[in-house]
Amino acid sequence: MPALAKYLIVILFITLSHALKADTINPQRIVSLNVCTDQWLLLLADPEQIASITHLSHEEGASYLLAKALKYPTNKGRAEDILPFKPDLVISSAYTSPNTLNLLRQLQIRVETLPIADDWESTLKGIQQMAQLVGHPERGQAVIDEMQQRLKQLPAISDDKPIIASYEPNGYTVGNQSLLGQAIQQAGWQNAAELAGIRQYGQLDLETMIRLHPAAIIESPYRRNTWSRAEALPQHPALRKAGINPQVIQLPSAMTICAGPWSVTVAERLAQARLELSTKAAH
Amino acid sequence: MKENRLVIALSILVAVLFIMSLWVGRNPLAIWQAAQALDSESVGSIILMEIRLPRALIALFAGATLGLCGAAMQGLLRNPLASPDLIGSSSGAALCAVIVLYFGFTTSASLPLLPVAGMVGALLATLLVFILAGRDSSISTLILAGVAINTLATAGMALLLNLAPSPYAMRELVLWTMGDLTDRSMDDFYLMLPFTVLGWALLIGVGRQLSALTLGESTAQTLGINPQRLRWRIFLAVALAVGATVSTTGVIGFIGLIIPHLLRPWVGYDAGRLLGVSALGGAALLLAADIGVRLIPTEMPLKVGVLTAIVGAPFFLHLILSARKQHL
Amino acid sequence: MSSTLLKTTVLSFSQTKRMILDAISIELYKGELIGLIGPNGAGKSTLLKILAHLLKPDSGQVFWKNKELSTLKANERAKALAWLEQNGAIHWPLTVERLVALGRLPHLAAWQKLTEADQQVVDQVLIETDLAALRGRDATTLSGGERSRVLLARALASEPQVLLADEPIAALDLGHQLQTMQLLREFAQGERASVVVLHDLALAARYCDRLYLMQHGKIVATGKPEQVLTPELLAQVYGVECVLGATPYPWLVPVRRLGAI
Repeated sequence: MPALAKYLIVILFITLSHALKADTINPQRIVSLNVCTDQWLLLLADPEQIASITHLSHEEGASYLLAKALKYPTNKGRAEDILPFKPDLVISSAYTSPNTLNLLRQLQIRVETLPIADDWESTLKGIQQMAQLVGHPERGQAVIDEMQQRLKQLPAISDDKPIIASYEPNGYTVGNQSLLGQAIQQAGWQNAAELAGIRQYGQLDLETMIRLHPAAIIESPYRRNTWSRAEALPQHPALRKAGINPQVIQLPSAMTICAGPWSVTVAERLAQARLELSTKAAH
Repeated sequence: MKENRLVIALSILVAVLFIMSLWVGRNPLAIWQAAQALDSESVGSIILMEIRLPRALIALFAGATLGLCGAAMQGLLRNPLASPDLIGSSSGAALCAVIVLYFGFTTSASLPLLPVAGMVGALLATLLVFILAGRDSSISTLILAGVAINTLATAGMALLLNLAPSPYAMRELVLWTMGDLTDRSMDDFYLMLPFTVLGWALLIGVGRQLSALTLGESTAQTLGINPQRLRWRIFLAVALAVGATVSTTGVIGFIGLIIPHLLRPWVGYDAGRLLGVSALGGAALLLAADIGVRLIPTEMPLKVGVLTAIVGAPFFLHLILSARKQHL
Repeated sequence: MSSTLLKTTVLSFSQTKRMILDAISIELYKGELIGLIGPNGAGKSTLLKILAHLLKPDSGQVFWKNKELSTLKANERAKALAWLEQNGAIHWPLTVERLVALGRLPHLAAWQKLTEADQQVVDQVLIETDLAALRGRDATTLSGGERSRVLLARALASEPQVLLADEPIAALDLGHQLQTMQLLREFAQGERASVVVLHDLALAARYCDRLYLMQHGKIVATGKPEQVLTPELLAQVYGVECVLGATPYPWLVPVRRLGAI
């Protein structure tokens, strides 16, 4: 090949790549600092846009999109973990340490913080915001449309709603002002936490559990077969002696820790469980 | 006469507080109705028998143990600042209980190991403080050695709970350092009972020997007491009772310090007669503090040790100041 | 029946390689008041502690009547022997009466409270020791002399057969010195006896039946006071020239220190 041709090809290549870069102002080296923003990033960004996600996303108990997540290097949210990835965008949540974020901003790195998704509204908004940040708003819209579609198709709610409690170790539970609480309502259950006066997050003590006598409990343990005072509480003999023998609905913790399209699956499973309970009761 | 009246008054107080402890809770409960309906599986009787009763019983036994062991240690060391929590027995017990509870021993068959571990921890920590401080140590040396052991044990607990497999372990550090009685079952009570009672039984009859120690170890020896054997007996008794108690409730501070000190003038400063009334006084104080944490409206349940420390720490300062005045 | 109460074979005792007691023996008969005298560091208190079974000699044994002292039960020993510590401690602010009553402990059966008889002994001792007026006082706030008397009263309240007293009159005023020596003299009658460590040689000469003069862990002289308290022996042991007399009561005046001994 003549030298000129070689030269021309090089020129053409450089021009083209410049043109492409100018076209896509999308960030190309995104670092996420929170397991839940990790999930949305994995859901909405192109694989080559992602530079690093948190170490929690490599854990089965926390990461719904584990298979995808395993392809990326991890960070522990500290500035010195983040800098080697030379990020052009850092996405954090409201839980990230403000000191780390200030340090990154001083180093001229773009930092965006997403609000915490604790109900449907903030979840859909957050997904939309993430889609815009990564430069694929159409993908975000598609995810949102599908979620809303599925939520509309949940089975109808009957009048006598059985009582359910989200019952985590130590009696921790969520009220109706939470994503799981909303899913509980939409699936046609009555939330024990609401009856106990808990709106967002709180503890159901043993006495209240015995008094309310829930027909079902939701368990979503992060790690199984470990031992602590908290995890010993559901084994308290008072519950057994009170004849509380609720249906236990097991949900993988990866489905409940972060909000996303899988949260709709939670609502669907809860609705399914309610239908099964009422057919059992009918027999 | 004065003493008999004191014993009667304290007994009535303990009984009243015990009944109040059954009565106070998140749900209004007519305990007489619940008690009458004991056979039936009513919600009320289950709440009474399975939740409130174990809580009240554990408070009764743990409080009595702390008061009794505080009095025994103060008598043995002839030092009003000695108590199981200050000289490290309690935190040593908690450290060993943490090891057993959070690591590997997850089957219920190994649960009896818990009070045993607490006992071993209490004994080791007590001996360590004595080796550190020396036998005829001054008040300040003893307290400094206790501070060192307490700090070490608390740091050890923090480290172990951080490393524990359970994701909930770290949050339970405060339960071990502050003490807590919520949602314990009769099973927990039965677990702590035998060792606690064994510890108490070891203290039967030491009262007179502690009285004799008022005259110093040598003179006490010529009164027929074996100070060496007495020391081991009390260490072992405290290890058994405090070990079993702490492995159930965590470290509840200051009861073993305050109660003997408050009651001492009432028994004419007799180290022996102080034992029984201190047990009653300790039970009353812990029952009262546990009712207190249930009555104070907080978002998250308050730990009972928070209340005893709020009362106890200023008291401790007062004791140090008056001890300093005596030495000047 | 022998009249010996306490008797030792040849005793030796050393501490951190220093010989404290060097091959000595002692014997105590009923009705006797024995004085242990000698300069500081002669081993008097150590000997008393061995007699009280508080220290174990490196060699030699102590016999109580015909039995070895260590074979007695602790409680029997406590009823037989009382030991009065030099500058004894009082650790809690008990009242004088309660403190003295601690002396009754060896006589009480398990769980038994002070009986009427025990209380009578305590009352009697309080009167004898001139403490009846102080019976309600906090024993830790007493003066040094009052405190020694309270501790002596405690030892007497044990009603021992033998009283081993370590410098019981060191902190007392003249009147109470005499009173205490008189008490010890009255105590050591009949079936009872006493061994007392003393520094006041004149009182020792006046009240004691026999004296043991000790120096460097050895017994230099023993016998009746007039045999032991001679100018020659005093010069040898104390290094002090003394003038002695016996009228109307024994007296002793140290005149001057002699040269190096």
